[in-house]
Amino acid sequence: MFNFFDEIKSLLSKCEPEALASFNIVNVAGKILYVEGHLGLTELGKDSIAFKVKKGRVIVEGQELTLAELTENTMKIVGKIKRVEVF
Amino acid sequence: MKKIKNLCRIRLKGLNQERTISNISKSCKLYNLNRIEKSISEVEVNSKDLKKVKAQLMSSGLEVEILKVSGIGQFIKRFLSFYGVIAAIVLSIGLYIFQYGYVWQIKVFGTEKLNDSEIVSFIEQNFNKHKSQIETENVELLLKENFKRISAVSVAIVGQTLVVNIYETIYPIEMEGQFSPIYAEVDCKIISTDLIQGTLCVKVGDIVRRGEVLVQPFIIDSQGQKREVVPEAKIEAEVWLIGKAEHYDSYYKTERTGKKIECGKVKLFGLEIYNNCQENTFLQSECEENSVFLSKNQILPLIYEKTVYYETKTQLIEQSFEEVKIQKVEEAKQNALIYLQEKDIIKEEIANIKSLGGVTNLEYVVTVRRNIGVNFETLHKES
Repeated sequence: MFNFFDEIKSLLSKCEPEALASFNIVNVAGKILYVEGHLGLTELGKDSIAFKVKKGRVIVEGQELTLAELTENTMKIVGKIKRVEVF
Repeated sequence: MKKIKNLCRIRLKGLNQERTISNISKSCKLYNLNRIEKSISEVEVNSKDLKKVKAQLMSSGLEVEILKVSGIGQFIKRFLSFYGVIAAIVLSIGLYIFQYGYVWQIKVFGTEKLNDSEIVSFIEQNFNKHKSQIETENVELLLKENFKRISAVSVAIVGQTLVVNIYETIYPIEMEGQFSPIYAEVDCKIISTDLIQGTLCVKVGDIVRRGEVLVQPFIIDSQGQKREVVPEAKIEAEVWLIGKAEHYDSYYKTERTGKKIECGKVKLFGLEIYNNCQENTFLQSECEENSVFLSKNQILPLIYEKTVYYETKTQLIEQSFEEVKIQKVEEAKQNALIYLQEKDIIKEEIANIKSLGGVTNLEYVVTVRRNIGVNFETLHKES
């Protein structure tokens, strides 16, 4: 089966090998945000959810946000996603 | 899928919840995290992880409140606590299984003259209600034996109903009902009559043919009026049972010698496409032919025709009647006794022998005494 992330990683491995070992974020239609490689939740609210990533922090802003699933290194945020900022 | 999962929704109260949640997520999967207020949030965890999660949360100084437990496991758990419902279901299933083994209804179809309730009560009296103890073939036989009106009957158990399909015997209108005459069962000579009811049509010494009326179903009363009655009489007669045998002083007998020649042909649309025939060299023979389709479809109708020639030999057999007289008389006697009935009384036995041109005809006559009066239904059934 075609693996989207693996395919991208194999293509970009020569250019940015370090960046690829960090985190991945997929925004689906502004309604679902899939995160892979987080290092822990730092903020949970209705309008914003923040989490740590390797060498930084990500803040997701929107409305009626829910952390639909949370595991050790993945999470799924559901709601009206307006902005995703990486610091 | 989520509904099937055994999820438990819990409410957390306290500060710095994110850190604790992050720690828990390392060992358990968390679902639907929501911030309700600044220090209150809700989260769903698998029921199996509840204990572990609760312990971790409480050790972090958070207050934990279980809001809702959902999922099929919980549903079953809750359901199992309704003892009354469970008892009712078990009882219902038990009752259903128990009653399923019984026939609760008997339906009779096809009756016109016969009474349904009479048939139903007959079956109820003679058969158990338990399905395993009802043999439909027996029901059919008993019904046919006990109801003369029934011409054919089929019985089947459908669900919990015994379905009886009846075909009634149809008689000519004039023969219908209980006022049918008494008929002669066989060709005979009347030797005694004992009239109980009806009008006697024969007298002692009369020779009657099969089917002739012996007693009419009416009487003429003192006022000259014809009144219908059920005919009843005891009529005895001499009945002649005849058995025959034949003998030829000389005759030709043809029999197979045991030698044979086989011939096989394969044909397609009537055209011969293969054969392994040998020439029939027998001086005298008889043959048997048969053909079979080699293919099961009609696309290629290959037919295999097999012919077998058997060699035969004809010889002249000469034997005088005197040599086989005893055997021939016995043969004729046995042919006559085939017609003997259970209550017949044998009165006389005569063997008539006629010889002409080398052919001997033997007729064995057994004279028996028999009650010959039967009603129309019996006569009709026997014929």
